[in-house]
Amino acid sequence: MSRVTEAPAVNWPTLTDQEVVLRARAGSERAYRELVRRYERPIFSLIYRMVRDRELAEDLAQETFVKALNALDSYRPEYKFSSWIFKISNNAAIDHLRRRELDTLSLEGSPHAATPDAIEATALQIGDRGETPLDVVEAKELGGEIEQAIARLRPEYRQCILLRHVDGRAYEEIAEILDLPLGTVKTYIHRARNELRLHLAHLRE
Amino acid sequence: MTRDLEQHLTADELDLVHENRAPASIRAHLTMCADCSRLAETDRQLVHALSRLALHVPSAGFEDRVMAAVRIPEPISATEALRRRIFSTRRSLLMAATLVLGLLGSMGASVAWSLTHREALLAFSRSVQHGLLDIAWTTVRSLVTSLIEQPWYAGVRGVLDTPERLAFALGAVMIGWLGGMLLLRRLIALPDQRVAHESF
Repeated sequence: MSRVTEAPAVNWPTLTDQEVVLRARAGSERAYRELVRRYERPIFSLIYRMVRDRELAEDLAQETFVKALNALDSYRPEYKFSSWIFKISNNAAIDHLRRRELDTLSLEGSPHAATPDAIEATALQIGDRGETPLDVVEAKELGGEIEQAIARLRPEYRQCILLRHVDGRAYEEIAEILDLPLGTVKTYIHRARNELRLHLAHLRE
Repeated sequence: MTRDLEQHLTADELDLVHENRAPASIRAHLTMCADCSRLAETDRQLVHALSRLALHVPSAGFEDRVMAAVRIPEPISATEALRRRIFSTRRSLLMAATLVLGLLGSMGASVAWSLTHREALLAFSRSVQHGLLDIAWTTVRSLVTSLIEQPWYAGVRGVLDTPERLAFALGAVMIGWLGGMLLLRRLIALPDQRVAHESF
């Protein structure tokens, strides 16, 4: 059956997440795509930094979106959509880490990769933010050091520090996403920062 | 409020420093305590570096793979969308219930008042009826008076003062009207031959 085409007047970027969800619930395919576009990068980045394996991160991110979008009817609009979907992605990553006991990994690739191609394919790619070539090199070097330091953190510290300082979530939202008391979240973040400072101390020398 | 130099900053106070919300006592302590000042600066650099980490991008076709696995409901009617919107949150449900109760309450109060004040309603409707009739009659009279006093009225009446002339004038008006209708119909008729770009 052909779907109803969207009115061209809809300015999607200006809609709130809640408005997009209402349109998705009403059967708009474009609204589903808008939700994926808004969250594919932050969700994929968070999972990638948690599991350190690109292919696996894509699978878990896809699982997150499919689970969330197929359960849109159970989403309650009085809560932030970002908290809801981050909670689902975090559960997917933590479940996987518990199953595999994959808590600290190297940047050089997944320990489950058997061939050189697989190791290269699963190695962490350091991104850039479109700055000058020198900035990019410096940012990549520093970014690589920080990614390595984050990879050495315990999973619970890692998820807290990523949500707080990479995604910019408030302490209260992180507590909601991770189902942890606010005090515990603050403690984890401060301990994570202490560990990161120690891991990165050589950069200041 | 002064602060002991030995009383170093807590983690929460460091957060206040990063968010530029530190009170004067903390800022004063930072100027005096080299350890805390160094720690705050290192922490600030770390937080800044973390915030600059780039987002990773999934491989091409990620969105399509997700969409292929998602069950999209059939588009719903405006009424169904409104019903879902009303029932989506407790607040919207409460607002809708308040509105419905308000409407039903005012309708009930109106019916009850009408039943207990029938004489007053009848008197009111009679006075309104009389008032409207008076207005209508006055309007008709003033229109007719105005028409009769027009300078061209006597000439027009002279042209139409016999039944033959009246029938002739009415016939001319009818023919003119029919001609106009036929012309209009021809102008707005759809073309009966196939035209270019028809399939678009």
